[in-house]
Amino acid sequence: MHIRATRGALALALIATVVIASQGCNMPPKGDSSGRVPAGTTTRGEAGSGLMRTDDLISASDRIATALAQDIDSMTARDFANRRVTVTFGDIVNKTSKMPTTDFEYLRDRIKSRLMESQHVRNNVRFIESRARRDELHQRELEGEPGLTGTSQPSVDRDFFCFLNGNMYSVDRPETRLYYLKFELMRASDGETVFSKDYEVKYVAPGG
Amino acid sequence: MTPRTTPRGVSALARALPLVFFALLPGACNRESKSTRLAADDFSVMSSEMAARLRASYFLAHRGPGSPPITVAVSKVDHLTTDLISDGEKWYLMDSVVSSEAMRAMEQEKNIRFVIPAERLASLRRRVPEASEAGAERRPTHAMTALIRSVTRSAGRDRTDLYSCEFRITQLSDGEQVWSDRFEFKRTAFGRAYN
Repeated sequence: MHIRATRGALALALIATVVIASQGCNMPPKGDSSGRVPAGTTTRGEAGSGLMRTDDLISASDRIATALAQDIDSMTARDFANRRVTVTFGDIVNKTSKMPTTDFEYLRDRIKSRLMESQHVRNNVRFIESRARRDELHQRELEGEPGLTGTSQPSVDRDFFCFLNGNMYSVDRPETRLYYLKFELMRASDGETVFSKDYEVKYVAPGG
Repeated sequence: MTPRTTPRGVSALARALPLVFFALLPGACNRESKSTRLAADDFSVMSSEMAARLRASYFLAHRGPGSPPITVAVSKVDHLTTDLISDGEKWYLMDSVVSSEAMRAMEQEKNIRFVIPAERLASLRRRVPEASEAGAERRPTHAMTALIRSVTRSAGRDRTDLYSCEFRITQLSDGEQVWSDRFEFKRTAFGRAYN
């Protein structure tokens, strides 16, 4: 009788150990031994944050860059007489309720990097630093250099110059959050939108 | 004869097992990172990865020893993260790319040379009177800069930071970005994190 009770207690302890071990140390993904997690992995911290998941930011940048790369020939032929277009970063309008603008700046940087990977895009488009950044680099690297002081920045033909602008919105409802992003190229001379691509994602979760 | 565990031994084991488990559980769970801060290894991996990517880049692909010379000035990394990154860490990341074997080989193979950063040159000229004319022939044509961003997400006690390190080379004459690439990864943490 005593042996049976002891065996029962032992089995119960083993079951409890397994159950607690599986629940108590339910850890988020840790990646490789370095602790880094691949950028494409969705983690628990993201899934429950209520903000756009980084995977969706990456996916949005890929889709927008791909759309622009596909449209580049028709765009330069239609709007720029097949000449190479100069692009710089313009404005980001963040009308979401929670997303920080720096997240969209990351998205914009990534769009540019993806575009620059394509030889075809580089043949048709060149990215330049913002005027403030150009002035900063110029002043830091060339001011005071003998023979280079006072070298002015070349002007850009505004008919072949575009700003990459972004607009971001969200619709927030209980248990649902919708994000809408749109990036567009605006010609500097007349303000015409020569390219536009949007991305929409909706999250449905208890508590939003 | 097979030795048998006595009922008393089994009973003691049954009582001890949960205690042993609960004693070990906190230690096992504590191995999970409590911070998403960039680790030392991240800097090494980022620099070696970016050096390899620059060496294999489209910017250098068609260059050879006879190509027009390129003179690149570097600066410390800009960072827009929630991390505290010291000036030394910012310089380490850039210096380790420039000093890598992959980049040193570029000088001969691709006719590209790296010159002392403007900030360092100004410091040298200020501190060492004999160096007031140093770097007179520096004349950079390009600037190599880097920017680290992070995108932070948290839910309850789970936190994730996506780090993105972008390197770019800009032509100083007109501000054109002639090369850009990035290295991205995430770090996760669980618990009460203090970054």
